[in-house]
Amino acid sequence: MADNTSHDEQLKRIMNQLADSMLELSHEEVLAETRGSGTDPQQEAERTRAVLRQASKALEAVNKRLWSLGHTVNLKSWKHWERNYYNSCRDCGLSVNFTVGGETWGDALGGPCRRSERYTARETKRLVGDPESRPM
Amino acid sequence: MEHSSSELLSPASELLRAHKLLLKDSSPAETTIKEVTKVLAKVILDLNSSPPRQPLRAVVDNTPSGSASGDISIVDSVGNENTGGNDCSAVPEAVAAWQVSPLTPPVSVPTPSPRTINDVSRSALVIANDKSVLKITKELLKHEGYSVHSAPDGAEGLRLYGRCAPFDLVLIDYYVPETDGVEIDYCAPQKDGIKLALAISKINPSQRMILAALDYQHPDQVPRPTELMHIPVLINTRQLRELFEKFQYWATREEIDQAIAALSPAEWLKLEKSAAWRVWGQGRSASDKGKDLLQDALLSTFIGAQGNGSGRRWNKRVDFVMHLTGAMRGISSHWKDKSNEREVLECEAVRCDAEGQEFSPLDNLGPGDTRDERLRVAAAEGFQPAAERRLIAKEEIEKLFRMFMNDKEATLVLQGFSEGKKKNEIVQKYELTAKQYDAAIKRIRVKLSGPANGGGGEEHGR
Repeated sequence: MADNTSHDEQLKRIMNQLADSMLELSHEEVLAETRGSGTDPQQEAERTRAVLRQASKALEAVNKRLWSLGHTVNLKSWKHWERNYYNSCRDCGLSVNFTVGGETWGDALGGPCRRSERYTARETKRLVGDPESRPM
Repeated sequence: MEHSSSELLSPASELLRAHKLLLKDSSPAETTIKEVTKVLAKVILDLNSSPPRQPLRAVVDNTPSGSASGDISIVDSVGNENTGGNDCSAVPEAVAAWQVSPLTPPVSVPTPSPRTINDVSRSALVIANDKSVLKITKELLKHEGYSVHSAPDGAEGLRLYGRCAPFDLVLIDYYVPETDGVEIDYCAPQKDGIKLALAISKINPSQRMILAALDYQHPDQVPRPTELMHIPVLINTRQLRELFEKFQYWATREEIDQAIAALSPAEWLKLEKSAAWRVWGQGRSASDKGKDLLQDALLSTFIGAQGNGSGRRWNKRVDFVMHLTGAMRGISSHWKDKSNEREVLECEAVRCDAEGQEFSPLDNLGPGDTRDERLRVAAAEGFQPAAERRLIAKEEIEKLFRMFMNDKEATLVLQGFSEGKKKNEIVQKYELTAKQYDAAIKRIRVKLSGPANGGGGEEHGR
């Protein structure tokens, strides 16, 4: 190859063109090509749909949980790492993780945000005054 | 469409000549243009054969806030005022007729009191085939005090221009059908699908025509080149954003859910396969499936729907599949950048000395050292974070070309792709027909997706 572009750039270009070529196909052509590669298009599409539906539900659930605890996350800061997404509370810095499979973990889910303005002074006082009552 | 000054000397005859030329060609697609040309020619001949609308008086506006296009404005008998506005090269005579008229002595007939341009509304012509864009732009301009004429296509726009020019402002959506006759002096596609062009009349540089594409992803992304500072009115992005909100251009979470539910199996497959190819192109490990990218795009869209400036907002004017594809393109590119620029991890830099003892060239660096410093030290020690990925990519490329070594057309297409060429460039360079190109790319897709290759895209099993 005369082109001096790096191999990874060349690979990216080839695959991006193949990706874009999918969009130019008619629905019938897409279904036919999928069948041609030995896959049932209906099943494959349903599988993709189910995975994405799960992702949507997982995000909703974790946001709801964080909100109920008074944590505020920067929605732009959700990072993808391996199989999970992670973020941290903008106010207290505690972390939160979730997978599209619905698993959630992280310190932020262990209790209310200490620095949240949504929590009344009484609640804060109660939590500070009685460490045993802190929800885990 | 270039117009020399000599052509502009007799535009009416030029239009008639063009009309005659068009009549020779009986192509049905040009019927409308023929009709418009005919009407325009008639209008211009009428303008030439009769004096300008009477009475007309020149009003010199000395106020600092006068129109940016000039100090002379024209007031007609009913108080409608026109400043030296925009030009349209297809109807220069019409413009010339109006521009010359202020220089003629005022006719002494009873007229309303002279009014400066600050007392009357300014005029604008908006040409956009998208009804929503038309509505929004009209609303915006009316709010700015403009009286607005609108047209759904270039032909109707030219007709209105011929009848009502000059305007203080002419806005044309970039993708307007039948814009033949509109000369574009400058057209600069911007990043992220934003297109904004500024056409400046060669006859009178103070007269400007703005061509603004409103199909951008986010109003904040609208570029504001310095040239636009000189036009009579600026598109106020804040106002435009508010109007977009008002007319619900941005999809809500519920609408996104509805769009997802409405996706057909073929569309799901398109998205999934498109994502899988893109991920493969990033040289990601086999565990990084295309669905991850699609998930990221979707989550980003959900986040964008909350309207707080984060994520990727879905502009409902854009097809949902295209939106997700665009989001995937951006996200995968971001992955690549991150991969290229990421911090050198201690674990990656660890080496063994001659005695088998582990050491890291980064050990001697302090916490205050920058990422660049860490990279420099690591590189000096022979450590290259992206070396492995480059090696994998090299092997992938070689494997790809080996797979199609007996398929000349597929090899040429792959070669073209690797050089960043588009379909028309590849077809032209390698003298392929469009049919050969399409067949070759299909063979590439099927072969790379096939079970013989470990399954394609999603399951390509590299």
